[in-house]
Amino acid sequence: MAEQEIQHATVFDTDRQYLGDIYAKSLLAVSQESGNMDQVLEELDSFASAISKLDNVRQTLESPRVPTPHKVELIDKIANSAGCSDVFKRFLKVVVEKERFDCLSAIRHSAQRMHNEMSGKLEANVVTAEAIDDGLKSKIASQLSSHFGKDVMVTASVDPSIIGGMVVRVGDTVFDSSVANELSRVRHRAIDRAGQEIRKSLDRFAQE
Amino acid sequence: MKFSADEIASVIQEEIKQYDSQIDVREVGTVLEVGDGIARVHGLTGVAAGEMVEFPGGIRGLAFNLEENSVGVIILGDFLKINEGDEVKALNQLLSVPVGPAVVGRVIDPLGNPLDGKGPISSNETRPVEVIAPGVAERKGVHEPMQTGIKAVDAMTPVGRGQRELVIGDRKTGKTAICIDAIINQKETGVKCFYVAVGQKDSSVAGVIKILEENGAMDYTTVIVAGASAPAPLQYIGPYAGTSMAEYFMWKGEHCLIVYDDLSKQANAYRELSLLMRRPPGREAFPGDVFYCHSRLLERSCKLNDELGAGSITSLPIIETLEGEVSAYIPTNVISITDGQIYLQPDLFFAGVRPAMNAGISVSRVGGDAQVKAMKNVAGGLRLTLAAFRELEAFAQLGTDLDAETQKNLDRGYRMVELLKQGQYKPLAVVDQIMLIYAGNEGFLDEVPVKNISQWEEEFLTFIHDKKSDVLQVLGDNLNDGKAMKSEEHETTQAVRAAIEEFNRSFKPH
Ligand SMILES: Nc1ncnc2c1ncn2[C@@H]1O[C@H](COP(=O)(O)OP(=O)(O)O)[C@@H](O)[C@H]1O
Ligand SMILES: [Mg+2]
Repeated sequence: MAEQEIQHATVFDTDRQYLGDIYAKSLLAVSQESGNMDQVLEELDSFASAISKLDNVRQTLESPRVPTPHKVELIDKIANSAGCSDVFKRFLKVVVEKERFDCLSAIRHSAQRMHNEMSGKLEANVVTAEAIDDGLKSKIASQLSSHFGKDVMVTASVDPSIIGGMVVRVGDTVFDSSVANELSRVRHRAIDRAGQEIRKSLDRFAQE
Repeated sequence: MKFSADEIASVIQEEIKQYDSQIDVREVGTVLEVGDGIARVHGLTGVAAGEMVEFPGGIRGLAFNLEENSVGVIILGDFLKINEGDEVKALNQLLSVPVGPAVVGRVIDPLGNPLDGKGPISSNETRPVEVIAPGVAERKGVHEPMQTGIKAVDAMTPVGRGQRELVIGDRKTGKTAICIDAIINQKETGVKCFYVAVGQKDSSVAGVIKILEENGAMDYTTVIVAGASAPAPLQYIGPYAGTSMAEYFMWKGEHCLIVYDDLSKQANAYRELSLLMRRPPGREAFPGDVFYCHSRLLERSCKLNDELGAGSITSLPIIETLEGEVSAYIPTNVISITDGQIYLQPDLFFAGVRPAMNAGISVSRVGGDAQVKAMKNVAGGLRLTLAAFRELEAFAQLGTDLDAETQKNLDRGYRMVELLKQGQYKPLAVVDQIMLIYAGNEGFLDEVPVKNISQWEEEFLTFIHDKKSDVLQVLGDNLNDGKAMKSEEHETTQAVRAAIEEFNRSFKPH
């Protein structure tokens, strides 16, 4: 698998995300029929991360000014030299013909997510104040797996501003046991409480 | 005065001791774009429409549009502090405001934040801003009067408790003035009043608050302000928030009066929001559901049945027309929702007829049942006199010679119009109104010169209150007697007649 690049929790372009979902769904369906889904996904993964580093190639494939036959030819060359599967090659050609090459990374994210869903896997992001080692990571993963009843894959990231504890994000749900969060909750409650007490009996707090 | 730091520290210590840590589970989304008081958020998959969300820094928002890939949130605070990529958290509760006795006498914004510098609203009860109105089985007919203290209104377009009476007219025709007088007149009735100012100039609102204070009306009134400088979301939810605060008292069996000043501005705020949310515009660029925006609000004004405590909310929505155009979109909508309208006309206002109510096209569809009988008896005559007068007035302007009978009707009409004029902040008790209108109807003013009518009114009321408390007593006791002020023989009629005759003998116009 290609080396990990920074994955944003959110895709900021919902229109592309929407298109990505459609293409990813079709790709998964076709590759399931031909029985090489895992291989196709891996190809998509490595192709997308390679392309993102080759600006010239990417721009050519995305540009509406380059005639489609040229792009198809280019795809053919790349795919043949890399020895891609037939399904993946045809998929890329469709994407290029429909002028949707700019959605490739959205398609990749969607495909990854859908594949995880299909195979009962769950992605969780764990944020801690200091980096954690693999042992702890797999421990967290197994804890979460038993909690959700699904195979949880953990990605870890570091954010010193949470001070301590950890923040786990699964989909749109956040489980926050960070020290920063606890502190801010204590702070709010103390302010509320002090305000209430002062309003109840001013005499207790007033000094002449 | 100084605060003792030790004492405060001990409270905080206590709070920390009692704090038990638990995992904070929240549903989140991410801000995709923000601007003009709205944000588009990705995520928040489980959020419901109308649910509150929180941005960093405690800024609240309201989930407004649920779309396939994003949620449209209206921001109830300073949107300039929100950035793309910020985390948004669902609060799992509908937008609510503080309610209860703590809000009475306060000036607050539509979220319940104090604007009068008197400290936070210390109420532990809240109520959702959007509540479904009580159904038919939970209501009963409007039957008790809600006196506004204004002669023209109480006589010709009487308002009952639980009614919705629209006040409509161009700018500067005395719309606000009528509603403020109605609030001032609730002083001894125990009716809680709510004045919702939407899109008004802050200086006008300050003026209203000052007048309410000077007249002792702030003791039972809550002022909810979303001024012209407030963001559109606050102007949009202001009326709903005010109604929720009134509903608290209605469900406790009490009576409320709520003034929405004005719903035209609220509709404009809603249009702004909807267009920013890219909802399709319709007639006059308003969204298709602007009717529902007003109908669901005004349906919440009602009279509850006896099992539910018989509480009520009476509402006086205000609509400002442009150049008298009542057939525009929003005016026709609100006219069709309400139980009648008080129509104020600029030409009358400038001619000095204030309140500038056009009696011909102002109506109250349900208030008649709520009018006290004695008033009903005299008001019938008043309507007829005024209707005849309006027909004749046109003739009179042609300068033709008129027969004696016509001239008499005309003269009486002039006096009636004069009698119905009323200054601001001087609401009259219903007994006083009845005697005045009776005197006009029965021709007791025919000999008084038109310019002296207000002098007559003033001196007559002083006379009655100083010397004839027995007459006031009799009339007060018989207000709901169907024959009072109708049949000549009735003791009430006779007592009032005698008092007017006695006063007329000594009256000297000057
Ligand atoms: N009955 C009245 N007698 C004298 N002046 C009045 C009366 N009603 C209103 N006014 C005056 O007319 C002006 C406009 O009234 P206002 O109620 O603010 O109008 P609107 O709310 O329709 O814009 C105010 O200055 C007010 O004092
Ligand atoms: Mg006004």
